[in-house]
Amino acid sequence: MRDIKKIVLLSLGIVLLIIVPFMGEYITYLIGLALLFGIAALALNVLLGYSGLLSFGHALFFGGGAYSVALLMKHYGIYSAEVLFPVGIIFVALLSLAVGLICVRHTRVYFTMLTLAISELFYALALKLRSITGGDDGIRISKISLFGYEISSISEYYYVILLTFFLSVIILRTILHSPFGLTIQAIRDNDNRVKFAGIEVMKYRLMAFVISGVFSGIAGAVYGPLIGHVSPDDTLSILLSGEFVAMTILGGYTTFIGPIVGAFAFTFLKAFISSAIVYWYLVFGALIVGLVICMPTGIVGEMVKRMVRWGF
Amino acid sequence: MIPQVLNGLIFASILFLVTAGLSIIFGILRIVNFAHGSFYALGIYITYTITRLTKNLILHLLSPFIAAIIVGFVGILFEIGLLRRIYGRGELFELLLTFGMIFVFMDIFRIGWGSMPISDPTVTFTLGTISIRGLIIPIYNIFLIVTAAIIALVLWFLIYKTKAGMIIRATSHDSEVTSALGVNVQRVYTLTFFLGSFLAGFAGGLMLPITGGWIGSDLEILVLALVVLVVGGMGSIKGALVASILIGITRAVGISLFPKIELAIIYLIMVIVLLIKPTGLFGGADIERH
Repeated sequence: MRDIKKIVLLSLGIVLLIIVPFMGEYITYLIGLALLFGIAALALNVLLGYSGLLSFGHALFFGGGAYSVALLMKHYGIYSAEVLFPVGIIFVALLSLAVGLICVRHTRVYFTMLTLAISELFYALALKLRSITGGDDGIRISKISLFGYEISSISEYYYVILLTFFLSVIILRTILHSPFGLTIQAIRDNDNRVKFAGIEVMKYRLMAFVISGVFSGIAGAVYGPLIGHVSPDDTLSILLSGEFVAMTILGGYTTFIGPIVGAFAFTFLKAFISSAIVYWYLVFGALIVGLVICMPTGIVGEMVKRMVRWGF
Repeated sequence: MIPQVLNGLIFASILFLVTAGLSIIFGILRIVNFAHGSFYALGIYITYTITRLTKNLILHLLSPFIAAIIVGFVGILFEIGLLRRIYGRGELFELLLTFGMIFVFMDIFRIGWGSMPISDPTVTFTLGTISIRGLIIPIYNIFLIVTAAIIALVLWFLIYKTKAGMIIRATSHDSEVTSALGVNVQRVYTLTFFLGSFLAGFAGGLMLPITGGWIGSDLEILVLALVVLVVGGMGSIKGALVASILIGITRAVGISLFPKIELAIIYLIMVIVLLIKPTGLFGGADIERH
């Protein structure tokens, strides 16, 4: 019975996501954005929820993906998505391997500080190496094509995003429900015991780190053409890293789908509140504070709790 | 080279004050306070408001101190009103709560002081300059470095030579046992937060005549202070001192030698230090235990 309910809800969700482009350009843009943030938040949660490691530098991988696409366009004139995205993914994989090697030797707040500081290194580089990255003006992305077909409207690009989203969710879910996923959760809960079982804890943490980085990078790579613009403040800043964490917590980091819900809630709240009042940051900050104090398990966590109470 | 080193010392003094506050709070509450940069910026803004009110030189020189006390009380309010509710729930939430406050403060600055950068170099002009061997140095810069050095000494005395300092060190070492010995640990937390915020606010106030304040000065100093904290070893005041001087002088010299990538050099130093010594320069075995 429960499975049927789940399948019905899921297919309803998929159908809704497919018909989005018929609801107008702005909604399509917002949902596309939310889907990409959803991938990034899911990726962050591979570390946060499943490995117990809080990264405050995930904008680095998001921005790494975005910048590799933008730089290839600017300096090499490549506009084909089928070249840009794989190259971006390979770049981010190497980047997250290098950063991961430094960071996973630490846990807890030390891990957090390292991810933050290393991401700031790249933020500073993107800002200062003006001749390559365009400095704080960033890089404009004018067009993109897929197998020779130029994607001209946001509705068309939306389906690229949607496909990326579905693939990422399926792959991440498979990974997290595999023995690998169980192992990183065991490491999160008690790394000593796992060590005694003969498992190389560090290697697993590093793998989780790279997976997390790669999927953030995928979200970033697809993000640039949607926004039409890649800049340090939009894709690499510490504030974005923090927003990813906030989305994940807002949705609920103890569940798989929590981060997606959080990303949607965040994107729509931000769009509506910042169109109504100037002080979006004040509301957002207060929201985070309130969330941490009153609803630490997030939207999905809270819903699950209620459902259990009402006997669902 | 000498002017760069002097500039580096100013920057190092400020970094030390800010990071010392961050480090004390971390050492005792085990919280990295992301709102620390906002307390620094609040110090700049409040000092600005005070210097607008009066033209008196003494009051101008005292204004960072007054601002710092106000910032310290804001810190107390923050600790009692918000942070205290979530102790023991894990560092994820503590970090996120203090991170949320960055956003709140950003808009408070916008509402209170507007979006435009502020500056008030009056005191630098009033004090004038002195010339040492043909080198012209603003007296205020010397005042700033000396003040920071005095604060560093007072801090050292407070922590290592007084009874209050002993209680602080005991709490940092083992808060449970300290509490069992009859110390009101909760009050130690609050006082620590006052001290930490005070130091951030004071550093901000001192910088008003030199850099002024702007939306974003909070993040800039926060990130640099975090780097100093990591390089020096988290929770170590000595580490904060050495790392501030290292980073401060590197930045000043770097600006004149490699004007584009001086920040990148700082982060590079950090990565190298951490590769060689993962706990930072003066972070002892303590880190792994906690």
